[in-house]
Amino acid sequence: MPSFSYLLPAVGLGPPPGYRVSYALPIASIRDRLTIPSAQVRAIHRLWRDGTEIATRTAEIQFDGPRSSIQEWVITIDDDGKADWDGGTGLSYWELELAVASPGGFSTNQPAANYTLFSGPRRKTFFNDNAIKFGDPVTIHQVRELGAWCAGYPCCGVDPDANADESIVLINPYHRPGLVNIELVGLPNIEKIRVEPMSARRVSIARLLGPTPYAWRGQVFVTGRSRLIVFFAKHALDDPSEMTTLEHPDLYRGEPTHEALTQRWRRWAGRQIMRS
Amino acid sequence: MTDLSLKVALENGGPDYLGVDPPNSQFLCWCTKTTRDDFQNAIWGAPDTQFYELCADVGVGTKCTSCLLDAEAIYDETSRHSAARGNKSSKSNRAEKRGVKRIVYDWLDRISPRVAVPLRGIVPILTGDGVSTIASVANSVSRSIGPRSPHFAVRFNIYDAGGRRIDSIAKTLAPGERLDHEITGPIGSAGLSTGSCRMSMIALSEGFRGSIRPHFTIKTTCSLSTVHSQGNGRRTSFVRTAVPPRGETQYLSVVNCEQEPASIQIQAVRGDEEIMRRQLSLAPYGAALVELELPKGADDTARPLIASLKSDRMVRTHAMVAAGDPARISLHHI
Repeated sequence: MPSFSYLLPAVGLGPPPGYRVSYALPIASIRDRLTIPSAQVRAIHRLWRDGTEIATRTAEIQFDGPRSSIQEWVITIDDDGKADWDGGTGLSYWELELAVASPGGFSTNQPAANYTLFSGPRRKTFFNDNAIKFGDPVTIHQVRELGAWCAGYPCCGVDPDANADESIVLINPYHRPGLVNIELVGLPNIEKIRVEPMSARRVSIARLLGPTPYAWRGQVFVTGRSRLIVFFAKHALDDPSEMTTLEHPDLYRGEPTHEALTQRWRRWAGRQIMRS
Repeated sequence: MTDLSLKVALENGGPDYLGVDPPNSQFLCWCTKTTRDDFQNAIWGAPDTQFYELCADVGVGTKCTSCLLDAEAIYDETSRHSAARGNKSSKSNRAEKRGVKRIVYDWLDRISPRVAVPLRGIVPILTGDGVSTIASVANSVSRSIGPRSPHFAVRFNIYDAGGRRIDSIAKTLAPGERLDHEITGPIGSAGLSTGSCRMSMIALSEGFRGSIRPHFTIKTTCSLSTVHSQGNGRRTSFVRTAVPPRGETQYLSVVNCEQEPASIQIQAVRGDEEIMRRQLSLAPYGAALVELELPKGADDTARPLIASLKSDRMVRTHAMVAAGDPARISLHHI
């Protein structure tokens, strides 16, 4: 069995105005990934804004068979009012690192996933499933096959009649500045956006359409020479803090459309064996 | 591996030694002249070091950064082998046998005819007063990549809440084309009604899948929200949610993925306290929307609010949140 000393770090967006972000560490899933029953796991949660680490929380979790020293670790981040959400700058984001701090390891380095909950007293609740900082197999496959990093979303939309806008949230959790191109398929312009290291920005699609927003629906691509973490936020046109939802992107897939017939037979045989 | 790093480094003016080495050189990072082997050896030498720490130590990706994605691919592949190698002594025979098996499989795959992989997706549908669902498949072309996906034959089959097929749409999508089908009007009981759309896509020639994954958009008079489809269901799902603020209602949307009736149990708990339990049956391919009767008041992190579902069949479950009047609606696959 492989043994990894850490899980791939997860990255998520900090709170929009009026929101609280809550993330419950998936203790049971972490336990399931341990290669030995007794081990100590160190969790580090860092909150970043504009290149500065603004909060750090740590926990040491001792696993001993089915028991663990911490039953639940819920990380909450409240809006501190310091993000220029309307202007799209100064957004906060968080990173979660998990590593084994004792003998033993994890059977996989894929993160133990849990939804992040966005809620607030006068805010619509929504959920988000975060992103992997690096090591995403889909990204790796895409770059290997296509020679480019290309995230996107096929169903973006701006609808002034429904007071609906959408934003591209760009998080750069890396040490170098990120420069990405935003392409609204079918429209001539390509917008170049720079995101400083350990920073996050929001780019409104309505603003990309021009000074007067109009109804537009279609595919958005975000491409670059080094990739960023991307989310798509749907919100009100007249008030971007009136959030509806926050979705992860859909990468342009480098998987082939065809497979060898023998490969399909092997998979079929494998399924039959699993069933029996 | 790609020549992406070389291409980008050249576009950027690159270091002055660019052009001395042929494009298929083993250099991973052109700025620091680090080869792929150097980087791989560094990974073998420090298997517990995380990717960015290793890059900083070796110098890879610290200047123009164009090699970072290639470096990440090498890191991922080598770490897996490295992790597996840790237990090699106890499993060396099996590893060797796997090597032989792999060679045979690869040879068989090379001589075998190639067939298109059928792609499928299931999405819930919501319709009602001012609420509609748009089912979408986009065979988009990015200017940075070009047309790399083939033509796809796409079919949408639309089912009502009782699992009866009420509509069917078929279209061939060339690269650059998309299919958006808006479903309006009642498809189930009065008020907010639900159903499902089963989507199938098959490539008509070889290429890459690109952006072909189906999505669905819930459109109301004051919001849009979109989620991707998923191919298979689950028998259990749960979500940790929040006490809804005034004017917000939360639901679970369930679609039966199978041709047999499904028996489903929905439960909401707060800490050790059970708040609601509901039993329902779904017809084959049927769908239901179940309101979660959640408490009001302040959130209590010590007593998490969890909604869960158990089924004897594969079902597709989404947590749905409707806030305000008229409502802004979002769905989240769980």
